[in-house]
Amino acid sequence: MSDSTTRRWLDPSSGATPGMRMLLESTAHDGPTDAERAALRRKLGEALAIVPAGPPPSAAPSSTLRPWMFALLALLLVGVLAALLGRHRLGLGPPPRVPEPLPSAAITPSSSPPTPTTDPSKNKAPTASASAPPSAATLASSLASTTAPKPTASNSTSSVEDEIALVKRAYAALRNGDPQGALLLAGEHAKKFPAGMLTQEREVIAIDALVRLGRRAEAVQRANAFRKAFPSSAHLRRIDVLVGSNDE
Amino acid sequence: MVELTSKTGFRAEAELASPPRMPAPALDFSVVYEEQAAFVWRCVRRLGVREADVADASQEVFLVAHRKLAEFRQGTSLRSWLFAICIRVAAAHRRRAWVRRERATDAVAAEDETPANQGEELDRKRTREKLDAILDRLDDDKRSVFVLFELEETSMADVAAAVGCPLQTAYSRLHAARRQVEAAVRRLHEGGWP
Repeated sequence: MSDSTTRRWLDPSSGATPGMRMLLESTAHDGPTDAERAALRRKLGEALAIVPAGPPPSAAPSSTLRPWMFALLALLLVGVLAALLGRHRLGLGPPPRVPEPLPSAAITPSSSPPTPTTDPSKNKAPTASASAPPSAATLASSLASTTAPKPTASNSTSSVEDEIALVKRAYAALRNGDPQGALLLAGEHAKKFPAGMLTQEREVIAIDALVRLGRRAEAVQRANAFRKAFPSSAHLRRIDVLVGSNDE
Repeated sequence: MVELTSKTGFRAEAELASPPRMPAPALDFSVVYEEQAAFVWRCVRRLGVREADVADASQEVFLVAHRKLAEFRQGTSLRSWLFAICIRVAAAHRRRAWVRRERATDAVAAEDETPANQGEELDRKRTREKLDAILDRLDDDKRSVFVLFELEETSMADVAAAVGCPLQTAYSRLHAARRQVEAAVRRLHEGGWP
């Protein structure tokens, strides 16, 4: 038996009754309209959040999804930088928070505020390496630190710029199809900025990189730590997309 | 880099350059979306997801696809892979939708009161509902084969790959599905349907 001997009922020579063909032809409009396609594209773009999966942009045809999603992180980073620079120039005290909804439980400042330091490298907060995912406690500690005022030299404009630049480099590596490089840079960020304000963004990049490297178990482990540390993070949807909402 | 060499072809014409046992390079999700959005939309609809839920179901399919894209085996059929996701998502939607069935029925009843001058579109919708009712009586295996072969005009070899069964089994399911559909259409004719 083959396709040639089994004619489709929509084929007029198939012998199907007109009524049968009318039934099947009623599916002719099952596809999405242009508006429905656009709405689906928009919803997917929202759901996939910051860093889209995919190969380097140079190797890919033009797309309507990726630039839109890339723009999200770019806007986020630029916004953070602009806000920080503005505050420092105006002599305002506390640094701003990461511009995203923060978990209510984590907004409470830690009971022992971070000790001011002038050298970021001497910061004794726990670090997270690229290969060893930070624990939820470590991440939560990072968040508490990011939400507490730290009017110190370590929060100078240059260190903020350094942090943003580092996360940008990690993101660019991921975008350029170098997840290993992105993971290393994420690890570097964790060491240099253990209480950095872009901890969540770094973790999303690291998890994405691990997924792309096929290191799913590590990605899931890191995602679980993220969920515990940032239970109401705006990035959770992206994390779910990357590794599954039920740690599957 | 994998290139989808045909926008309409059933197979993803994948050329894989990575060494063995390395994780396969990710497909470009945006390309997958652009080329397969209509296919996914149609399939979830034809697999029994109600019209009002098709957008959500399609989104779910693509979210799953995005998450699992790295697991897609190069050289296999992209549409088969997507269709398998469609089957699972559609089944979940149908399970969740059963409690909403009464509401859907109410909507149909209200539509029936619409003046007859609504014309062809209303006729088509009613015919489409009849087909839905018929397809709803097929089990998932038969429905999948029927939808892919009769409506998506997929070759039987690809149908078998998509539903994960031997070719002969796919033919058996098709013919079993056809028998059920023919019987249902006969009943419609006996009830006065044209």
